[in-house]
Amino acid sequence: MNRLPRLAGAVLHALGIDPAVIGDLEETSRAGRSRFWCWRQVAGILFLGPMPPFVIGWSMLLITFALFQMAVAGPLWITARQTGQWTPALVALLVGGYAAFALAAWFVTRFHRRATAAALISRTARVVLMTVLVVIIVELCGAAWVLLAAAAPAPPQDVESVWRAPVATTLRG
Amino acid sequence: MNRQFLTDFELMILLAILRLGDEAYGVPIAKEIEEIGGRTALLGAIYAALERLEHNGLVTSSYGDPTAARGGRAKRYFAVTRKGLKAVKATQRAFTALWSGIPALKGGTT
Repeated sequence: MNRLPRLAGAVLHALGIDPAVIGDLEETSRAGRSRFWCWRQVAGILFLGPMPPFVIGWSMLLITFALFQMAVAGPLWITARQTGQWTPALVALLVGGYAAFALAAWFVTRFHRRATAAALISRTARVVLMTVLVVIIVELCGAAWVLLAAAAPAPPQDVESVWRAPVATTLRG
Repeated sequence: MNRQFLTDFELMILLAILRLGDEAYGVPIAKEIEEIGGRTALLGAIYAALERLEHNGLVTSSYGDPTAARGGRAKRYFAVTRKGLKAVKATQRAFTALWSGIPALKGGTT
């Protein structure tokens, strides 16, 4: 008796595909369908099937972040580099991140009203997880930056005079 | 939904559900389309169309009990709503009207 390939089931489950659809695949696999047929169905579900909340949510998140980067974060970052005032840029990034998550959650619940509570709980859990991950990454990057700065040789006090010295010598000669 | 008519694939799915009655879920719907409709359809395409039909109020769905034969997963049963039935009839009327009066197709319809 054939069974649905374990990897296929895991992929569909991880992407939030309706368990009834996976059940249909399992049932037809057990009825004697080949592994090729199963994988063809899996590809069909992924590319033609109804979009799962997982995909909608993360797609929205990516789009929002891309728009936010272009419209707000980029200019703020440039200004911060010029003025040395990093706080507004970091606050804007944090607020923007939460706004993007909120928008993604709204889209998920908008398209999946049947499972609103489940989608909201799942989104909240992901927001918490992503926030923790972002904090860890930022902290690690900060620590690496401090270590690199400490290890790098100190720049000369007067770069211009060092650059000009050989030129002046050449001119004198 | 303002759209009254169905695509050929949506019509096939609705007719398959009507034929199957209380046993209309993914697997038999696909089988019905393949065996009687003569068209091979991927489950993904069928479910995408079913989601669209449900969103438009032409079908409703409900979950059954999980079974071991399906790896402990429930069946999702579909039923055609009154609005869906009206859409099927309207589409049939439109097709029949278009069909009639074409000499090349004479005798191809009842």
